[in-house]
Parts: sequence; C-alpha cells; structure tokens
Amino acid sequence: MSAPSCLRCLVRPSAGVTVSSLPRSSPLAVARAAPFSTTTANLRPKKEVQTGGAPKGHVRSGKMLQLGKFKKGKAGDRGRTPAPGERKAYRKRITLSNDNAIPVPWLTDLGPADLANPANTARIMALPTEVQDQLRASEAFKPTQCWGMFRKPAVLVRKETIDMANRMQNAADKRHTLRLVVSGDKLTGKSLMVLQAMAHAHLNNWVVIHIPEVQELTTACTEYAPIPNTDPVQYMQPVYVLKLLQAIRRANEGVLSKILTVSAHPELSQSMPPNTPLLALAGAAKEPDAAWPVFQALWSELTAQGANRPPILLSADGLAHMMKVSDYRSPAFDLIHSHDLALVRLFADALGGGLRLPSGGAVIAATTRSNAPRTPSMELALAQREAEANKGLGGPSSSGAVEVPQRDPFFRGYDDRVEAVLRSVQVLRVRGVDKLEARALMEYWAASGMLRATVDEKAVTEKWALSGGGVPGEMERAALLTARI
Amino acid sequence: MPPRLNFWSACRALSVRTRALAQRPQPGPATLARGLADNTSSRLPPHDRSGALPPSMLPANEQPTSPENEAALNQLRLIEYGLSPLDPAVEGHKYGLPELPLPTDKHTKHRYDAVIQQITRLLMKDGKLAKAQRDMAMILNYLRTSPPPRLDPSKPLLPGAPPAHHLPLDPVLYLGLAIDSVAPLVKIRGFKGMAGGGKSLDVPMPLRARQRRRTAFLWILDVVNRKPSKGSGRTMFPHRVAEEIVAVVEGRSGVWDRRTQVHKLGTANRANLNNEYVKGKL
Amino acid sequence: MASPANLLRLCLRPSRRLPNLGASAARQFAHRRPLSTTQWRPAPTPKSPDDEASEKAVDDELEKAFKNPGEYFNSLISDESVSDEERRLAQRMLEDWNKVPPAEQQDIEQLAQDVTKEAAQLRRPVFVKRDSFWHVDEPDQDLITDEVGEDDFEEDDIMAMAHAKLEEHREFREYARIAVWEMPLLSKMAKPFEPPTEAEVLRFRYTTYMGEFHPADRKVVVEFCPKDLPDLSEAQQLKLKKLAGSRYNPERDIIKMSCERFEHQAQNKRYLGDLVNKLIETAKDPTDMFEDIPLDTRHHKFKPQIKFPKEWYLTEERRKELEGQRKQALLLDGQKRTEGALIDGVEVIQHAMLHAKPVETVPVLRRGQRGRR
Repeated sequence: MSAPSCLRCLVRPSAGVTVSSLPRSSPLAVARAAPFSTTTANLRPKKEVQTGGAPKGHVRSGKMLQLGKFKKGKAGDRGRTPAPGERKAYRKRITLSNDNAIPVPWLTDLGPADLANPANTARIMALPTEVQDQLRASEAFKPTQCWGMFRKPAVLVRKETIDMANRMQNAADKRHTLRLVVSGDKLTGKSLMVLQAMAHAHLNNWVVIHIPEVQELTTACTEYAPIPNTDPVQYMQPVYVLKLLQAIRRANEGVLSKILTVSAHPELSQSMPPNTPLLALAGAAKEPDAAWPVFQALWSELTAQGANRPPILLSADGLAHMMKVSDYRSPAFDLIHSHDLALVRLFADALGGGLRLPSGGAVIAATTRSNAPRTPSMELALAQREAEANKGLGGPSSSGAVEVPQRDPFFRGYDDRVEAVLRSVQVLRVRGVDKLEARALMEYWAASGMLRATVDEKAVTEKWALSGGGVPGEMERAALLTARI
Repeated sequence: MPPRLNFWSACRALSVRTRALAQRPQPGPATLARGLADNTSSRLPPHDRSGALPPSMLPANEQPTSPENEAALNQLRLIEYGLSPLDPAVEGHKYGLPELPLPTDKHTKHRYDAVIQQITRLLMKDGKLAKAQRDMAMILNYLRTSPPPRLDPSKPLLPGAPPAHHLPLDPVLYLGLAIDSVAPLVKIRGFKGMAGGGKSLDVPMPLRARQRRRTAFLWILDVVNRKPSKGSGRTMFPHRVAEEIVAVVEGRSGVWDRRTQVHKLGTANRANLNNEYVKGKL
Repeated sequence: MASPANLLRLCLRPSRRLPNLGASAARQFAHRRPLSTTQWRPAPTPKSPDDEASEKAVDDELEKAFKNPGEYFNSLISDESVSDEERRLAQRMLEDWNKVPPAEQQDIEQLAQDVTKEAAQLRRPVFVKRDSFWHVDEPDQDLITDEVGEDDFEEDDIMAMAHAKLEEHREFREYARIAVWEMPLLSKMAKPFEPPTEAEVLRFRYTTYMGEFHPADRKVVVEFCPKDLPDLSEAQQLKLKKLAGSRYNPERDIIKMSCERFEHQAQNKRYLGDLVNKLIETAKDPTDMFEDIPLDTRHHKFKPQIKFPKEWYLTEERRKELEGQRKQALLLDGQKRTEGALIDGVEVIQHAMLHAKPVETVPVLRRGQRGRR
C-alpha cells in the first residue's frame, strides 16, 4: 500500500518535497524507467515449511506428535562453522597497512647502517618492503602491536636499538658471537627490539633464524619424538621444525640462494650433492619425519668451517619458557628438561657460548612479562649479569653500592643447567623512552591521522607521564587505543 | 634510658661539636636500643645536618624573601607562561585566566563524546565498564582501519554528513552518524484496552535524542548477538559490532527495515493522537 | 556470797531427776571412753510428758526466785524437805540479801521483772504445728518458723547492692588511707637508679604480679648482643648466631632466650646463665665452626625501611631545574610553531581530506536481498 508520507523521515507530501527534489539515483527514479515491468521487487525463494518427523511421502507422515512445532528455530542463519585452524588464523592475522591512514611525507626507509647510526636517535624509520616480507615470514610481527593502524610499518630508533645494533656489527666484524638477553618491564618494547635486530640482520644480509614463541616448544603442544642413538636422550619436534624450515626458506630466500653446500649429505633421503644452494637443502623436507635431519644438515652447512658464510642471527621471544623443565614427558613418565629438546638445546648452547659460529653473529633472546613462568634461576642470573655490568661501568652511582645478588641458600628450586647457559650473557635492559623519542612517536601518530591532538610539549609530557615514564606500550594505550579520540 | 645526669654529660650537651665529631661512625641499632649509661653517643638516630629540610619545604614565613622580590618573581612567572604581566585582566592571577568557554572535554565527567559514552554503557555487562571501554576503543579502531563505506542512496544518512571517505579518519563521527541515521523518530505506545474490544490503542510518541540512539543501538546489538562468531580472542564482539555499524552506513543492515516498520506503524496510527481517551493523558 | 552458781543450785533442787554432776561422774566417763577425742554428749533421751512438766516447774521456780528473792529464801528455810546444808546456804543468802539496801533490792527485782518480760517472748513455747506442710519432718526446732512476717520490711535495711557500694567505698577509703599514711614512707626505701654498665652484657626480665601467686611469674627472659660478649672473634660470633637459631633477631642483632621450666625465678635465671655460658663455650670451640652453613634468617621478616627519596624533594635547585626545562620547552614549541613543524593531528587530517580525491563509487541498488548481506 502506498504511504501518503515519506517513511524514512515521516515528512508529509504537503511539505513540498517532490520527486524531483529527491536524489536522482533513487530507486523510485529507476523504477519509473521501467513502468511496465512485471518483475516483482522481491524475488525471494520460498522457504520450505518444515514438517517435523517423517518426510512427505512416508507412510507415517503427518501422524506423528510434533513436540517442537512451536519452538522457534535457531535465530538467524548460522552459516558454515569455521574450519580447524581458521579461528586461530583469524586471531593471529597481521595487517601491516591501513589505507585510511595518511602517508607521512618525511618517513624514510631503513638502510643497512641506519639502525647503528647514532644520528638516527629518536627518529621513526619505515621498514622496506622486502624486510617486511621477511619479517612476516619469520612471524616477527605480533597481533597485539599496532602495525595495522598506519600506512607503512615503521619503527622508532631508540638509544637501546643503536647500542644493540652496534654490538651486533662489532661481533660480525670481529667474527665473534654476541650473546644478548633483552629484558625489562612489560610493554617496554622487548619484542620490538628483537624485531629491530632481525631487520638489521636482514638489511645486512645475515641469515636469520627466529623462534617467535618459545612456549610453543615447551608446553607440549607439538609432536615430539626421541632421536635415536643419543645419550642422554634428546627429543626432536618434527612438525615445528618443518614449519621453522619453511619460515627460514621464505625469510632468507635471497641469502640462502647464493650460498652453496660444501659437503654431501648422504643421510638425507633426497640426494644433496655439494654445491647445491642451501635454499634447495632447506626445501628438501616435505614431511615432518624428514624435517630434523634436514635442519641438522642445514645447520652444519651454515656453520661449516672454512666456507664463506654470512653471520647468523638466532633470535627467540619468551626466554623464560626455555629456561625450565618442559611439559613433555619421557617414556618413563619423567618430565623432560627443556634443554633436552634438540632445538632448544641448540639455542641454549648458542646462548651459553658452547656453540661457535664461525662467521660470527648474534644470539638474541627477549624475556616476556605477560605469560611467563617463574624461573628463579633465570631471574637470578640476569640480575647478576646486570649488577656485574653496572659495577664494571664505574663503581657505585648515587643510590648506594650495587650488590651482585646471590643465591638464596635455603631455596632448592635452582637449576644449574640454566645458570650455566646464562653465565656470561650480556643483558640489555629496556626502559621507557625519553621525551624526545616520545615526541617523535607522537608526531608520527599525529602525522598519520591517528592522533587528533596538537603535539606540543604539554601533550608529550602528559602522555609520557601517563605511561609511567615513557613506556611505549602504555603510550599507545593512552593515545591510540582509547575511545577519547 | 636517659643518659646519666652529671657534670660531664651537661658539658657535652652545651659544648659546640666540630664537624669531625659529628662524623664519627654512629653506633649500630642494638646499642641504640639499649641506651647504656657510659655510652657516649646520643640516643637519637643519626641526624644528618647536611640533609636538613630544604628552605622550600620550610613554612612560608621562614622562606627568605621580601615582598618586592615576590612581586618581581610573579611577573617573571607570568612572562614564562606567555602572559603579559601588565595586563590588568591577568594581574593577580599567577597562571593567567582560563580561556572561556572551557573546552567540554576537560571536565572529568564529560571527557568522552556523548554518543560514545552512551554506547559504551550500553555495551557494558555486569558493571564491567573497563571492558566496555576497551571494546569501544576496538570498535573505533576497526572503523578507522576499514575501507571507506559505500553509501546506499536508498538509506540516506543524516543531512549534513561529510562524504564517505572522510568517515574512517573520524571514527567518532562515523559511529555517531550511523546511529543517528538509523535511529527511529517515534516509538509506538499502547493504551491498554482503549481500542475497543479489549485491543490496545497504538499511539506514536516522539523520542528524544538519547532515546533514539538507545533504541537504534539496542537493535544493532540484537543483530550482533544473533550473528555466529568467526574467530577467537577479545576482538570478536567489538568487531562484530563494528561490522554491523559499517553495514548500517552501507545500507545493508536489517536495522533499517525495523526503522521503516516503526515509522509505518506510527504513520498509520497518527490519528489516534486525537483520540478522546488519549488527549488528556499525553 | 550470793553467787549465781549457788543460787541456781538452789533453784534446781526440786528437780531431782537431773543427774548429779559430781567428779565421780566425770571419772566414770573418762574411764568409759579412753580414746575418744570428742566431747561427751548425752544420748538424746525421749522426753515424756513428766519431763516437760518438770521443766516447766523449773522455769516457774527461777521466775519466783529472781522476782522476790527475800520471800524465796524464807520459803526455802521454812521448807522441811530441804537438807541442812541447803538450809544453811539459804540462810546465808538471806542475810546477804538483807544487807543490800532496799533501793537496790527494788532495782534488782525490777530488773528481774523486766528481763523476764523481755525474755517471755523467747521462752514462749513453740508449738509444733501438726498440720504444717513444710516442717513435717523437721527435727530441729530452731528451724521451724511461722514464715508469717518473715519478709516484712521494717524500713531498717538497704539493698545488697547498696551494701556492696558501701563496701566499695570502704575499700576506697582503705586504699586512700594507705596512700596517704603509708606510701610516703616508701620514699625511705628508694634507691637511686644506676643504669647498667658496659660490662653487664645480659639483660634479664622478670615478672611480678604484685603479691599474687601466678604461674607466669617464674619466667625469666634474657637478652644480649653477641658483639658485647668479651673475647669473641667475628667467626665465633657468627657461630654463636647460628647456634642461637630463631632466638637471634638479625635486625636488632640481639639473642633473646627465656626459661620457665623450674618453679622458682632464681632457678630459671640460673639455667639461663648456664646456657649462655655453654653457648659461649661452644662458640669458642674450634672443632666445627659451621663455615659451610649459612646464617638462617628465614624466621625473621625484615621490614623494608622506606624513606622518601632524596631526589624527589622539591628543593630550590630542582625547582629552578624544572622551570628551566619548562622555559626551554616553551621556546622549542614557539620555534616549531614559527617553522611550521608543530604537528596538529586534526589539521593534518583536514588537509589530507581537502586534497584527497574521493573515489567515485556508483551507488548500488541492491535488489532481492534487502536487509541481508
């Protein structure tokens, strides 16, 4: 039935609104273009009326008691249920660009030496596209970070970044191995430090092997199997290693395609003669069963003596998970120590100094404050290394003498293996950013259109203070992830 | 125990101590607690003269200043704040006068936009306002990162709305626009039994701005709660709400039909406003 | 002399049933009960009506004797059944009676009469009510009362609470008395306080309950600091602390021990003294110095001494520093504003929107599935 007044805004025809005053491309205008059309507006397929119980032609149809006749059906069309893994993929998806964000004109891409250049302190620099792909392949980006709000992923170059990059560079130049643990309070940017280290490594054509979440290795959520002929028994994690190999391939494609093998690997099912590119070697594993031997072969090639190899970066996020007894159990139902898992052992040996990288490189691990088990040995070791470093710097500073903390003589939960690994690592303590760096961050956010405020000293000081002294994660929460836009 | 009252202790109390004396190592806590008679050091904990109360912590009357100096200092302070000290309006105000009208978002209770505040509280369950605020932030971020909406001319938005590509960068406006556009203008109120034969008499009643927004958002929440969940994590619900907002602006949402229905009913029953039972009771 | 004993003997003469309380009787009784320690008491003889009559006769005689002694004595003298001895006694008593001046005689008689009248109430016989409910089986006559008028209040007493209040007041007064009269005398016993010297290393604590006997007053507590003990090296002091265990307070550096095993304070104190000596001896013993065992302080919770950080005090220098920083910040802002380097988020967005090319979208009319995606 035709309504005498407009149903959208309840305006009467007498108000002077005519058809001509309506927007031209209204459905009314379109309809009038075909006034004699007999097609009905709503062509909806008829829904079949549900007859409960037996189908139509059945002997018992229509004679059965239907208890659910008056029940309302499930509200709405539920659609298909997501396939296994889809929900996780949805939760962990990373978006690196936002087309709505305004492109920042003064943003430059990172170069190979930019992260080690002290002149770049408190500057925001963008990640080049290749590095983005490489980091995405290694799963260096995290969904809790705000990459998806800006046009291009960019990082803040901090004092700590320059310090770390210089240390990496020194180690590579002298063919030493930098063994570093990045620690600090929550949201201070430890994972981002590791990402910046990886970016520096990629830009300088290193080989990067990254373990994005160490807890996936030790919380007994992937398959594991004992490696035969090992004493004490070592365990491999074939499915994880296969995934890791694929990630290494994708991330280090350019570098690995230029490196050739020096020895044959007869133990592999696929024949790998010498002088094949390492990329092919890494791609030799198509099944989890073959993954571990291929990884071992790859590792032996990368650390082969005499061959001209690039520096290697071994990085991991969530160190506490690998510094304790894992959740796996041996055939005798004893808990397996994390360091008896082959992949973790490799990393631990590298971090402890037992594994020599012939071409130098770095082993960088970041601790995490959210979702970390209590590891008294690791906490003590890191506190001791920090205190020793502070002592060595120049004696006790203003607030009293810094004592190296000792073991509690009455506590029995210490782990000697963990202490051995962390005996001689360097510790980089990440704290809040200073005002200059905070200002750079906020100017970047405002220039992208994500922060609708004037970035003057007052605003910077306010956000800096609100975030507990410039903690970057808290600054993001206060400025970007708020309803007070 | 007080020290022994004798000639020597009196002398000690009256004598002037040199610096060297004052820096003698203080006795440990045990001896202080016992307070022995022939213990030559004082009972009180070590009093460090160098850490004496700084003059700024002293009460005002003890601070070393003269009135002229104070006035001069005040003027300098005003200059620092960018104010002219000789301006009669500013004189006497240390930090200057505020700029009127005061910005509305500087009041604690009006920090957030009115629509945002109302919607946040509608999202809240079990009194968990912080969670609702976080959800609201996630909704706004989704609107900021989603592509600009493609408007449907059959579902026009509020007049005076900016073009579609302006909306993502102003998510507050985006949200407010969506809700205000789809909000019904009337609600149908029934007068029991007044229609004759026991039926209730439907009468359209106007809604105020807050009521309109509330109705619209509750319709949106209705639709959202019936949708199946696709992913996992804490962004599920806010992203579903944000998708529905985008659907509203693009004209795809079922909420538009609900609105049209209410308006139809209202239009049909508008004569009941003149009903004799109803007239006096409105 | 008109002694009451003789007079009574005379009066009791008519009643010859009463036993002869002679010495022989006493000797006989002693012989019969050689080992008894209790007093002899006659077995309660059942009273016959003759006994009661004789008792009444005795009462009458006594009354007569005291009311008019002169007549009574005369009657006795003239009575023939009286023995010679008794007659002579009565005569002597009569002579004594006549010596007394008549005024006094009258007084005595009046007195006797008054006493008899007053005592009449007491001497009134108590009739056992045969029908009484409460006293049917009551053997003791004294407990049988009429109960009528027992609870009558004669306005001559106060409540028990009031008595208690008075008692309290008396107690106050007693202590006030002591305070005023006796306590000042304590000043004579005052000794000047001599605080302990450095040589007195052990500090004992005793408990007193001001005269009461209390089981807790035998406890003695000793405190000492290992540093004060003479001739103990650092290593020996550490060993002593380890031996002391949870008796050692690491914050105050004091070992505190107590003893209440024995009944007397002195015994407990002696034990503690011996214990301290034993501890010192063991600490000095070089056989095992416990070097590998760390000092356990888990029994003590160290209180964190939180002090306001010195760096946070708003001193003049700090104030100047802050003002300097703020000035610098204002200058920087001003400079950036003039350069155009001060970024305003809203302006940036507006600028971008102005210069952005809007995407030409053809509005799509959705047919068929209105209201659905």
